[in-house]
Amino acid sequence: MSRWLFAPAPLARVAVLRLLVYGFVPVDVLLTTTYIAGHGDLPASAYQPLMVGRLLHLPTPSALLVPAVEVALLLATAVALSGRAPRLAGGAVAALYLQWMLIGMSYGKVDHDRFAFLVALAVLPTVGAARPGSRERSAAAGWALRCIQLAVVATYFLSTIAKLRYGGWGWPNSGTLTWALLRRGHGFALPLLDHPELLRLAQWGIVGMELASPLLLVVPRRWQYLGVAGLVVFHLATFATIGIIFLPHLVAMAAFLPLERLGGLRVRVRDCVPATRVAQ
Amino acid sequence: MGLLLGAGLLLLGSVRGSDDWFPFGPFLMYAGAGPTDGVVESTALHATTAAGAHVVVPESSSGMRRAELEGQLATFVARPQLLAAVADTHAQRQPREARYIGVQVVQRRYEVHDRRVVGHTDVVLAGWGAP
Repeated sequence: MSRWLFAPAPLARVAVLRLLVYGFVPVDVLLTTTYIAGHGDLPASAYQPLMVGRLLHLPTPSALLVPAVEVALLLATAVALSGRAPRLAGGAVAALYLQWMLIGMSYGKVDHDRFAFLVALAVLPTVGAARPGSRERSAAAGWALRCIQLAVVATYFLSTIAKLRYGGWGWPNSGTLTWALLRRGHGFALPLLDHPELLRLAQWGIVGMELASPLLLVVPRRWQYLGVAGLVVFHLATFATIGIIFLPHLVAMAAFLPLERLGGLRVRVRDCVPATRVAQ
Repeated sequence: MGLLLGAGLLLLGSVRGSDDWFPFGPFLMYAGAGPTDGVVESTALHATTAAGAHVVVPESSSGMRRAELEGQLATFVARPQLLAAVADTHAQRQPREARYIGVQVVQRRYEVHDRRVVGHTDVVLAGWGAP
């Protein structure tokens, strides 16, 4: 078990994943999850702090606090993206992003699309220095990537546990997708409402996929990539029909991919530059 | 060590916890079983503008997502005057648009029979009008 958990992995993969994860933070804050910034305008009476917020005695979000956390988070992310002080900057991003999430989810609705992303933010700093062009492998990199992969798989597998707990064994035969389409369905997806048997089949498919997700951790690499591709298709189909997409989760899922090859590309380009100059 | 603690919290959260345990709460993505027969509810904020128009309030104007609105439904039903905050937020964010002089929480109730929609009704759950 511990050999599997600490199997050395390329530092370059961690470095490229950091670029993706830290690069996504400003996208998330400024473009795709903008409602959080709006919470500063809501009355303090609407604030229902979550357990972590209560335990840490986090202050009630206000028109001053929310932009302050936002700016601090974006600044820390910029430092983390530069690759300087990876432990300190990465740690700051993880803490500030968690606070940002608590600001977002303390108003009556908690999102479930970013557990793996939060895990990525928490473990990526532990690896220390890593460059995209590095050819080294390390156990620390292996452990961090495994943690993120486990979090991705847990998100699927445990969501079936939640379905059993809240929806009961009858969930796959329920009217859940009908319900989802009625509340959020895009116009062109609404004809699906006329095919309830197809929707029921899709519900069985979802449960089957979620229960099979742990296989991602043990199958050979090619099957792993195929599995990840299948999951991406699932998320895109969900987005096309009911407009929900787990972007931070998808970013974290990149921990399954051979990202170090992208890092290699950059090095190769750099290697080529002097040669081109000579040719001129 | 940290991994074991995190995994333990996560498992416990899935079996025993609630949304309050974030980020270790259960993964409730459509975990509830929707009815095959019964009523499906969808709640929205509606507003009457100073220009006399009746509009659906977009999330960008209310500062609230639908799920948040539904999470706070009981509060708005008990204290409909809180809906005035929606008019204030809208006036602040869309200063060029006509102001809201009335805000209502409207629930659309779809009747589902054997997984098929057979009809719907709209019910006003809470309302506020500018004095």
